[in-house]
Amino acid sequence: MPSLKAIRTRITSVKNTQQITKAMKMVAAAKLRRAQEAATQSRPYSEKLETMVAHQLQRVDPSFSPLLKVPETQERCLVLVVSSDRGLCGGYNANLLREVEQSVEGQPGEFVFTTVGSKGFDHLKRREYTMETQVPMPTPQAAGQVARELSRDLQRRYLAGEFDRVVVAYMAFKSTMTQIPTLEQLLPLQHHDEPEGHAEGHEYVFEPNAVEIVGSLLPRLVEVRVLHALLEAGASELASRMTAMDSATRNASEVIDRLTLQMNRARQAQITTELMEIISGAEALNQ
Amino acid sequence: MRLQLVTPNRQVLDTEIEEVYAPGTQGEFGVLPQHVNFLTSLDTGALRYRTDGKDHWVAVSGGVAEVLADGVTILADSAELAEEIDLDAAKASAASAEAGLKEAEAGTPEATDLAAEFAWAETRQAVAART
Repeated sequence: MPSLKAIRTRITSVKNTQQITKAMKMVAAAKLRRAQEAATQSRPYSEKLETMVAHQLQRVDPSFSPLLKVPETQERCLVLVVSSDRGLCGGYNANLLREVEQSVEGQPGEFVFTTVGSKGFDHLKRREYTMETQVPMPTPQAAGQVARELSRDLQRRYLAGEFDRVVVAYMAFKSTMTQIPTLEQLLPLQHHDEPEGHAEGHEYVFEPNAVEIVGSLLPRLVEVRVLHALLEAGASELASRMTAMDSATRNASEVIDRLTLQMNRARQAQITTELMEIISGAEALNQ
Repeated sequence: MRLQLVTPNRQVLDTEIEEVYAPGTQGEFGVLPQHVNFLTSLDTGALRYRTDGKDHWVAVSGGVAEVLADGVTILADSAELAEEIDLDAAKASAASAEAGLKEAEAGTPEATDLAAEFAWAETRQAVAART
C-alpha cells in the first residue's frame, strides 16, 4: 500500500488537473456560443444565394461558366481538410481524418491535400499523403477573409487546370453532442436541387446581363460554401473540446473519490498500528 | 413589400418598406411595389428605403439585388446601417486609403483594393452624415 503522503500528493495533482480541464471546458463553452452564433448568422446569406443561383441556372445555359463544367478526366483531386490547430478536443480530428482516408483509399487518380489547422496536416503527412500547404484555423471573425482567400486560390488553380475536382472535408455541426464528418464537392460547382421555385415562368430584367450576373454569383457561391465549412468546423471543434473536457473533469472526480477512500484506509491502518504499539508497550510494562 | 438585406456575416435588415433606392452597377435604381422581376449587380454606395413615411440610409458595397413580386432581396458584400457607422473609423480608413493610393502604382491589385476601400469609407461617411 502506498504511503499516506504519496496518496495526498496524488490527490493534489489530480485536483490541479481537474481545475485545468474545468477551465478549458468553460472557455470552450463560452467560445462555442459565439461560434454557433456566427454560423447561424451567416445562414440567411448562403441560403438566399443558393436559391438565387438555382433559379437562374434554370434559365441560363450552364455551359457558359467553366466553374460548372465537369472535366472529362478525373485524375487530380484536391482535398481541403478543415481540422484544428489545437488538440484536447476528443475524437474531433481523428474522426474527420478517418473519414477522409476511407473515402480516398482505393480511389483511382491522385489526391493532394491542403489543410486548415496543423493537426490534419501533421496526421496526413505522417501517413505519406501528398501535402500542400496549411493555414491556421481562423476565428469566426477572421473566417470571412480566410474563406475569400482560400476560395479565390482554389478557383484560380482549378481554372488553370491544376485539378479536375476540389473537395472540402469538415465536421458538420449538428448539436453539441454530435458532429458529423462531411465531404462536399466544391468544384466543379454542383448546385443543390432546388425546391419548386416561386419565380418559375416569370420574365426577368437583367442589368448588365444574365450571364455576367450569374457569372459573378458563382465565385461567391464557392466562397460562401468554404465559409460555411469553416464556421461549422469551428463550432464543431469547440463542442468537441467542451464534451471531452467535461468527461475529463468527471473522470478526475472519480479518481479523487477513489484516492480519498484509499487515503482514509491508509490513515485508519496507521492509527490502528500505532494503538497496537502503545497497547503492547503498556502491557509489557505491566508484567 | 419586403426588403431583406443580408451580408455573409449577418442579416442586416428584414422589414416592410414602401420603396427602396439602391446603387446598381448600371446606375441607381428605384423599386416601388409592382416592379418587374429584376436582377442586378451592386456598386458601392448609399441605399435608401422608406418605411412609415420615413427615410432610412444604409451604406452597401458589392453584391446583387433581386426584385421579385413579393419584395427585394439584397445580397451585399458589406452593409452598415447609418446609425451603426463609426464616423471616426470611416474617416481614418479614408485617409489611410488615400495616402496608400498615392504610393501605390496604378493598375496593380493593391491599388484596386485601396480604391475600393477609399470608396467604401467615403460612402460610409456620406451615409453617416444623413442621420
